[in-house]
Amino acid sequence: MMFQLNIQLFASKKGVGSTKNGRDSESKRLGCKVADGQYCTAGSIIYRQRGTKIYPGVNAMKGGDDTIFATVDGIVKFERWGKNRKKASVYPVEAK
Amino acid sequence: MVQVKVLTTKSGNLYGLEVKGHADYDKHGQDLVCAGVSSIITGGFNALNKDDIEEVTLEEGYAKVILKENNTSSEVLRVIEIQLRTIEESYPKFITIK
Repeated sequence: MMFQLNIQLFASKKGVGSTKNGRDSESKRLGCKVADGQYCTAGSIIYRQRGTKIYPGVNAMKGGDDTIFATVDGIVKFERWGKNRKKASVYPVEAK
Repeated sequence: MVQVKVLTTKSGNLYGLEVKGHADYDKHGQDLVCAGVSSIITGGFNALNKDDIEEVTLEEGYAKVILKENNTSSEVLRVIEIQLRTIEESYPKFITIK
């Protein structure tokens, strides 16, 4: 015979396996919320994080989900703390 | 969808067929429409008189045959065409013949 029969000659491409990936969780918008040198009010969130990438410094505290927030109105400062750590502090602005 | 083009001369003599596309009736290995079309085309091409063939191609998703001017095989092409039209009648969404 001139041609051998391939009974699926006009079928769609060979069954391509399906991927088991393709899922991801909702992003949590972590990270810095007030930049260095920016003014913020007491209680406002400075840094959203998981664990302590940034530690609470002067006039700042850490919430239950490790969020750093200001305890006074003032200017935010990110500073080094020790060899390889950072902290966020808030320095009140002196009244003129 | 499988597209079949029937090639005829101005005077209506059938001298060739071109078939392309995928039936997509079901997934590979279970595509019944494709199985029918593949069998008709392969069997039909094998039935042609080799001396009448000007050009022939038969590969995944594409088949084409052109017969020489004076040939004795146009009736075989007619049978192939009618068989494909029979499938088209029942599965118009998966095969069209022009």
